[in-house]
Amino acid sequence: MKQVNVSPERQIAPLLFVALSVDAVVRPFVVPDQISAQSAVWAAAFSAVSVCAVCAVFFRVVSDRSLRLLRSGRMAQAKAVLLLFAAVTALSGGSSLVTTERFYRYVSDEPTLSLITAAIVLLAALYAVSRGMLTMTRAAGVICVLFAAGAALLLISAAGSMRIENLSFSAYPFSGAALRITTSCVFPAELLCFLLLKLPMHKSGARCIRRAVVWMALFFAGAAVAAELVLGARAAQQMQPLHTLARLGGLSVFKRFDALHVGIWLLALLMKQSLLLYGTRTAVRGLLPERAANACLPAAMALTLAGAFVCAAVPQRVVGVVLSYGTLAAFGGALLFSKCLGVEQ
Amino acid sequence: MAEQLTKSLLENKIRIKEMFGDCVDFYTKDVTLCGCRCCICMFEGLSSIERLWIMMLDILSQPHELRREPEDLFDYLMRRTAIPLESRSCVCFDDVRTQLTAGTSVILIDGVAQAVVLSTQSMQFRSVSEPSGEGNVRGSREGFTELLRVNLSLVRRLIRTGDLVVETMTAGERTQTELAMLYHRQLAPKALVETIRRKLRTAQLPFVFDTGYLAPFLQSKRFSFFQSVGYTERSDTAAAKICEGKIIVMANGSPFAMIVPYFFTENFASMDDYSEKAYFASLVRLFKYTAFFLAVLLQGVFVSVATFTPELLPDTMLYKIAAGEQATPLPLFLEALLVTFLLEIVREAGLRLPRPIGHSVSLVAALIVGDAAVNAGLLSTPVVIAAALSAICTFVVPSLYEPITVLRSLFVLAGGIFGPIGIAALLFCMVLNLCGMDSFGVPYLSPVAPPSRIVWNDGIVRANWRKLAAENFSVSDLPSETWGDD
Repeated sequence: MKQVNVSPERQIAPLLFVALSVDAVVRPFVVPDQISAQSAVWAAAFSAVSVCAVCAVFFRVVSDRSLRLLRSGRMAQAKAVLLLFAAVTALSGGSSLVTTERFYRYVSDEPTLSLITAAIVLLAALYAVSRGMLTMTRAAGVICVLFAAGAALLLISAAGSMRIENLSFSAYPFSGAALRITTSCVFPAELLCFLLLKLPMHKSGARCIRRAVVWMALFFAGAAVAAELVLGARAAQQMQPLHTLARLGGLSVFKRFDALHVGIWLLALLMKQSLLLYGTRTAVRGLLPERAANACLPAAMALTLAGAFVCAAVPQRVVGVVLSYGTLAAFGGALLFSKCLGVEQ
Repeated sequence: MAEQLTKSLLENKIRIKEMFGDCVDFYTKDVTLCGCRCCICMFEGLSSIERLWIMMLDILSQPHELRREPEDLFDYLMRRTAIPLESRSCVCFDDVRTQLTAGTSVILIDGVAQAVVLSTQSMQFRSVSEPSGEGNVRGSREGFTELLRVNLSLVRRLIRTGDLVVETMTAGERTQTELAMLYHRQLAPKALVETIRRKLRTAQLPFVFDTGYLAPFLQSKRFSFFQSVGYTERSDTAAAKICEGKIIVMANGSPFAMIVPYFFTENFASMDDYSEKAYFASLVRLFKYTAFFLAVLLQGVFVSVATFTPELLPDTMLYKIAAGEQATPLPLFLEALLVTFLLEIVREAGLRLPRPIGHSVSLVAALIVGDAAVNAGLLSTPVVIAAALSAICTFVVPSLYEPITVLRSLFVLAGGIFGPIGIAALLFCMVLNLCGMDSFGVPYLSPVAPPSRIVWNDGIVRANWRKLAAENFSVSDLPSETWGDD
């Protein structure tokens, strides 16, 4: 009874959108970016264009067959690339775990122990991964709707406090901020997870990634503008500007929508954690022999925990840069692997 | 291989007597029909001798109806008389047992290795009445009864086309319960029909007294709080589901018909929705969804907020909760669990006892025990209010009672021990659990996830009949996914 088939690639877009956009609402706890909304819009556009360009080139050059061979990990070169994939996704998973724990401590007056929070998040991600990617994409669709509804509510509840004069304009935004815009460009490790799926990525999959990245950039730019409309120049000094916006906003007698937003953002963070754990598990599967298939998930969890310890010890800004370059390196590794295959043939 | 009937009347009689032992309700009588020695077999209470007399014996006892050969009598009965015999005769003892226990009369003829069957059923059964659990404001008042044939006739009366297919089979090693599978020849996907048929035939059960016994054999082995099969007591609901291309499974002895496949959104729909204006039906559905989430989350969120993030509560309410909590010996989440436990006990007591006593128990529990527990300082009023609200919301979606009850307790535990992160993680797992379920190849959360435009026609809300009629929905329109990854 499969008369009306839904293309699974189409389902990827909400998952990717949720996993990427949550970084805009729950930001890593670093020194505030100090960039204005105007610069943030350019940064988002620059990021989106860069990521889309890399993906476009990658999917044009790399065939589905080489990705399949890469996933299988039968060749030594594939194993080397998968090792890089596993390292980047595990480090990104660890970073996400640390961010979630810090965010939870930030919003909760009586926080749970860090280890317990991390254990709960990892267990939820473990359950998600054990249910499989199909389940995760469906759940991401539901969470995406909640996320979008939450964003709309945030906008409506903060609309009363928005002042157009709070926006700061600069005639030459690139003169001082060009370096900052380019350095704030990120290559999220979540993209790597999609290379590990058993899907024909070069067709609709690539289009969906592009769509999700564009939507994410719009969301990021919108969030930055909304934050500056309400908070003015102070928006750039906030650790979590959207949480501040949620805390300030309200509709009539309803003043504590922030609790609702935090709930939705936690769901999105859990989804992101699950996706990264899935990516690590899939990369580890290619590295381990067939008979050790059951050990892949525990190994992925151990790697993520190790990544979390690293991220907790190293400054978050450094982690961000390492992750971006690591993702680019992993893309490059996959590209090289594809070329090697072509030469061998 | 089934044991065949022989030509010897005596041998057949001995074998049937062996089969049923010394059952007091098993009736046999030797008679001579048209000059041939015969034996009438039937079960008292299931079959009526008066009816047999009127239908057959009276005609055959006429002196001019003499037949010399038994084969000639059999042939005469089966083909040349107006006696309304069953079209199929019994050729083995299994057939004889099946026919006798179905309430028909079996007539053995000496010298013939077959037996004729006459429908003389006269069994007692509950009359067709309004279903107790699926009340409706408008629409049919008919509910299924325990007798399968009556239930089949109720559905047949509503779908008067040649496309309604009824297949029967038996299940239950010790009970040999008759099952019926009803579906629409054109709309039900053939693969689905084949799958259900195979699963029902291969279900190894010692006995079957309700369609619920078969549910685990039809569903996925993977654990879930929710069921991918549904139940109805209403003939119009069953007919509507058949017209959507679904399959109805009925079991003799149970007034509950099973609906397969069944989706999450169907728990929030009722037959009334389709008789009312679309906007009102949609509003009622939205209320039901809200009630479901309140039933599952309210207590857990309340416990979590009051324990971990009390600043979210308005000051006045916070003082009252704090005052209430100081007066009680248990932590908030244990109080909430205790109230849930008490509510379940009261419900069980009210359900199992005779109805008048059940009402008294509910009254005593609600007024005396509840009030006394609050006055004695065992429970605080806010916890009781949250529990009562949750309980009322649960009754809005009765088909989800079981998952709601379990999930509510889990959310109380998660919220009480781990706070908001516990609630969020459990909610995430619940969403995954719902999203991971498939109902015979179609996602259980369909048409919500994966999203489909049907969600605006007859999903979370309902469109008006003009639009619904134009779309002409069937189960095949729901999206399904294939993915080689998992």
